[in-house]
Amino acid sequence: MKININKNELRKASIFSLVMVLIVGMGYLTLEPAITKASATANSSVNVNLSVDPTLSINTPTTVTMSPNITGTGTSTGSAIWTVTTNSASGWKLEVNASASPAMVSGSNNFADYTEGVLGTPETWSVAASAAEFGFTASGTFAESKYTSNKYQSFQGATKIQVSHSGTGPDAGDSTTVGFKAEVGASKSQPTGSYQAVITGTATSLP
Amino acid sequence: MLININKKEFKKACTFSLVILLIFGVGYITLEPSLTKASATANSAVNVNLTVDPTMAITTPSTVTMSPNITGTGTSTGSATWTVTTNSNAGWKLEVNASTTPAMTSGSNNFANYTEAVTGTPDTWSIAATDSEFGFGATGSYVETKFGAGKYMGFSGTNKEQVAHTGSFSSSGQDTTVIFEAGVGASHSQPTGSYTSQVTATATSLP
Repeated sequence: MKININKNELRKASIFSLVMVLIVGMGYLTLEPAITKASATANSSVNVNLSVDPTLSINTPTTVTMSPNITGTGTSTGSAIWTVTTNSASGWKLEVNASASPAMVSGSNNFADYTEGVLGTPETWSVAASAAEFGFTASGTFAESKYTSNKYQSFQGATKIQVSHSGTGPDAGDSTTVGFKAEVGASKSQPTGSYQAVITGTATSLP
Repeated sequence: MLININKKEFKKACTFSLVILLIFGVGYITLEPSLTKASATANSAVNVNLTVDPTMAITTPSTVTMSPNITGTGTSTGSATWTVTTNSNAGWKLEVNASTTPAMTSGSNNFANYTEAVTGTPDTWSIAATDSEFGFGATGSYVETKFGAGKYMGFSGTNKEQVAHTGSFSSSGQDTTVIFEAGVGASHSQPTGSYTSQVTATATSLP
C-alpha cells in the first residue's frame, strides 16, 4: 500500500509534534515532583538575640595645682580634663561632685562653695569683697550649654552635677574640661594654707 | 445558663485586679530601663590644690616723744604701738631692734643700754646712781611672758629681740605696745641734748 504524504503537510506535522513534545516535557519537568511524589513543607523562624552591653571608661586626671597662689586677695584657676570612652550607642553623661562641703578645705579653714544667684544655674564669676569662694565651670564640645562663656556654679558636696553629655555613640574618647576657680575678696583675710578639693567625675552610659 | 454573680464579690475582684495591675505597671516602669537595658558607669577623682600664701602688714607708729624731759636726774617714758595684720594661719612674731649701740644717742653723748641682771631677761627697772640708761619693755595680749609688768631689758644694737607672738589666725590687726624708759642716776651728770633712738619692729608670719 502506498501512502501518499504531502511534503509540506509532513513538515507541519513534525513541527507541531515537536512543539507538543516540548510543552509536555516542560510541564512534566515542572510538575513532576508534585505529581509523582506527595510532599509536605513547613517552616519556622527563630529569633537569635545578642545583647552588646555597654562598656565605659574614664581617665584619671593628674592633680590640679591651681595658679597662681593667692597672696592676700585675688583669684586662682585650674582645670582637669575627663575623657569618656564608651560603646554606648546612646552616648554618655558626665557628672561631677566634691568629697566635702564646702569643697575646698585646709584643716578647719575653707573656701565657701561659690554662691550663684540661682542655685544650680551657672553665672558669670563674682565674689563679694568679704568672701572667699570656690566654684567650677565646664567647657568642650559636649559641655552643657548652661556653662557657655565661662559661667560658674558651686559644688554641692556629694551631690552629682551633670556637666556634659553625648547623645550618640560609640565614642572613642570624648573630652570635657572642668575649670576650677577660687577667689579671696578684697576685704577678706583668708588663712594661709594648702587647700585641697577632691573632685570626682562620674561617667555613665545612656540607655 | 444563668450565672449568679455576687455584686460585692465582683467589685472586690475588680479592685484587686486593678491594684495588681497598678503594682506591676509601676514596677515595670520603674525597673524597665535596668531590666531591659544595661548601663555602664565609671568614675575617677582628681585632687585640686590651692595654696594661700601669707600676707603681712604692720603699722608705722608716730614719733615717740618721751616724757617728761629729764632735768638733771630722773626717768622719762614713752611708748609705741605696732599693729600686726596677717592672714597667717600659724600666727606671727614681733621683734624689735635699735639702729645703733647704744640705742639712745645725741651726737657723741648717749644713754647706755639698760643692763638687766641676766642678759636677755627683763627685770624691774633699776639703774645705778652713777649711770644713765635706756631700755624697753612690752605690754599687750601677745607679749612674751618674760615682759611682765614693769620688766625692762636693754637693746642689743641691730640684734632682733622677740617681744610678742601669736600661734593662730586672726582676721583683724593685733597690737603690741613697746614701752621705752630712760633714767639718769642720782649722781650722774647727763649732757644736755636731744637724744634719739631709732627702734625698728619686724613682724614675721609663722610657718
